[in-house]
Amino acid sequence: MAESHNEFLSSDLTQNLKIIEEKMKQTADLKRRKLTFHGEAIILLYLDTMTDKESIELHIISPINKQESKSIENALGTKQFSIMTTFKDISCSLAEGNTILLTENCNIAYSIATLSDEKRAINESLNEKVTMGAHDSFVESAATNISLLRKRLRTPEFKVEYQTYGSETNVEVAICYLESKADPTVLHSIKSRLEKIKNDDLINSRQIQEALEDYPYSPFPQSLRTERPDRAVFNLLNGNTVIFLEHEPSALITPISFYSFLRSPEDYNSRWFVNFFYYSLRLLAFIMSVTLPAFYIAVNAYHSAILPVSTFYTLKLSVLNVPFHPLIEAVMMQIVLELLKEASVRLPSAIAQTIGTVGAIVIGSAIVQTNFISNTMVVVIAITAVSSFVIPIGEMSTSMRLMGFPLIFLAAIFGFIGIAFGLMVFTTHLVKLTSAGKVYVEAPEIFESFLNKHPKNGKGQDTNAHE
Amino acid sequence: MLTNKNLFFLIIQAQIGIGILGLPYILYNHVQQDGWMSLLIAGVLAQGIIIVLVALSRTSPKETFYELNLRLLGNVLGKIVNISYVLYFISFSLLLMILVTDVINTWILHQTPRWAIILMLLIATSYIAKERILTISRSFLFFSFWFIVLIFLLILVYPQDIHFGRLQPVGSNSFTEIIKASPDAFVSLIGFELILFIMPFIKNPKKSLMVLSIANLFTLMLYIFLFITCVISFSGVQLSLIQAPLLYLFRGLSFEFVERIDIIFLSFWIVPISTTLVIQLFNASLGVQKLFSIQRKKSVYLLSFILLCLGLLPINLTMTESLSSIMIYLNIIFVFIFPALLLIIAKLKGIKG
Repeated sequence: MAESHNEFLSSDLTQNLKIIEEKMKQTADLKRRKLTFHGEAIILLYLDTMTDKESIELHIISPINKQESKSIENALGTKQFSIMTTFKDISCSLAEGNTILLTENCNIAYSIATLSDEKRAINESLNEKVTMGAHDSFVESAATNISLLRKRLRTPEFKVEYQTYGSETNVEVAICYLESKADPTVLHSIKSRLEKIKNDDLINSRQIQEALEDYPYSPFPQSLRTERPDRAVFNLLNGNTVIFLEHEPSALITPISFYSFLRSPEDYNSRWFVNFFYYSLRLLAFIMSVTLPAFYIAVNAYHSAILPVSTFYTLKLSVLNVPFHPLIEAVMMQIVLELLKEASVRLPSAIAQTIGTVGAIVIGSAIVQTNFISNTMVVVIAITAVSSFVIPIGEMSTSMRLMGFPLIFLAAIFGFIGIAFGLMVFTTHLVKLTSAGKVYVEAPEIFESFLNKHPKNGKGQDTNAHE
Repeated sequence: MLTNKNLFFLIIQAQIGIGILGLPYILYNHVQQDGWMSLLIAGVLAQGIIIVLVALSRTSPKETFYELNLRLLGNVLGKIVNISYVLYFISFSLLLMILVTDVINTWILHQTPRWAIILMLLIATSYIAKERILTISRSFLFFSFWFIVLIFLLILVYPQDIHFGRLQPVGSNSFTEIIKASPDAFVSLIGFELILFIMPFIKNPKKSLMVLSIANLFTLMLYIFLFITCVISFSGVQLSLIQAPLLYLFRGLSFEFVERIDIIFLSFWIVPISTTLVIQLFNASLGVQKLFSIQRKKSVYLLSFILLCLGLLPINLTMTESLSSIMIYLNIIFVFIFPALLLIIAKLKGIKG
């Protein structure tokens, strides 16, 4: 039971120091400074690699050296500090970047916040670009991210809750919502889901996403990860919850509807018909990126009869010398495309442009000239890829492109009927999904307007909002 | 809980299915251009049955039909009735599957073996049927897009070579003959018996009669529109020969990019056909769930497996024809006569109790 004896600080300074250093596993970046204050020895302990030395110098060392105030509390008056009595607290606090101040003949320690907050400046969003609207994006600090939201939402209704998860990593998770807008039952379910995070090593937002999602094995993301504060604010105003993970430059929004993935913040910033046009364009892109290759294969392999004679000859001429089944062509081309995309993401941006050239000229035209893949197939796959890149959220865009694969196989086996069955299953799957207990894909509003004039069926709180 | 909108789409998807392809041909062969009268009579009959069914399920809105049977008829007789209902739904599904595979084999995939089509059909439908009824109805709403496509295509037929004179003379057939043809039309209206099984899930049971009537009216109007379009587009000789007039109707359409709309239409019309199968599977699975007290999901899988095995049996054309002629009578017994009897029993018990 020697451990429990040593749990609390004693009045013996050297003994205390020894135990703390042991607790910190004698790490090399643990530094100590010795000072005297009114004749008493004072020891400062801090992790060299995490603390802001200037702040230690300015706010701790110099007031103590001046010896102006009576007590240490007064000397530290300008800095936020807390009092600690156990070694466990002290070692945790050191690991969080605080400075520990120990005094001779005293069984308490002061923990002073001196974490150096080195962070990236707020930059333009890289993955969700817009032409109109704000250009700032989230950074790796949750506090800065919340400040970005607060600046847009200057209301006391905006509430932040902090929780720490991961016994090894001790990562802070911030849950933000508007008290007046958020549905309490949804909030409750989100919190209870977060409680269940058992991972010792919580580092990714994916891990939080997995805990939050009702169907983690579904290919479709049920919580939206965004880099854009304006999108987060828009969703907050709609009563959704925004979750930040410290050190992740993105916000997780839940509950979210499927249609939000097709929306860009730019939409709300433009005229209604522009907005309508681009939204329809993205819906079309969604449908094309899932079905176009499958449709082409079905037409090519089974249903060439549906084409008018002239189109039929054009198609047949282009596939005349290709030795492969359209399915193999499509799969090859899709893989080549994914390879090109992946390569250009991994490479430094200067070289990534080369990949574009290689992709377009070398692979694109040479593969056609060698008759491995037909011209039309290259066009079809290229259009598919471009359509999937139109989707504003990268996660969804990839899911959509990959959802095309099962349809390609079905089309190769059963033609149009295979596509029909595949789409049936996809639709049901999408309709089945819920995001934090809320419906993921709502029926289009057109039906609402002419079948059910008064939607007072209690589908949520805000159903009466537009009456 | 199902809202009125959900209920509406469930019912129309359950009603409209494969029947639409051959309905004008069958009716025309019986009563020529007066087929729409048979349709109307079948519609009125269906409306009467809907009133009976709703009245029956309202006697205890918290119970499904299977539970109602067990309570009113006692354990033994109730179980026998429940088993026969499950068998009825299985044979209905089997007939449906055979008809679907026949149509697909004739029109689109000539070489594909029957088992492959049945397997895919069952995988897709059981995936849907195992979900909650609310999810099923919400996906049916999305599938109803094909009805809009159908109506749109039917309207496109009108600028073509049509003659309204072909509808005349009105009433050349005797009234009895028109009535005789109506059971054939009635088969295509089947599907509203679903109400017996989903009453406990409906949010607003008081409105259910109205919603069902509207759904029935929608289906009836669609069928009459379809029949009239077929009659005015084809000559009498043509219509008495072609078994799938709807598809030939679309075959006549052609656009700059697409010819043979019929193939595309039929391929995607598989979706509304499958929804009928989904509803049959759902109804049957509720019964299996009650009989063997297993999860509904498992009972859907069990039923699909049974149907797959049945589908593998060598079934020839004569068997299909006799099955479909039996089904016409079974439909009337199981959808109308038996629920009506049960309603009388329920009312009698209600008076006694």
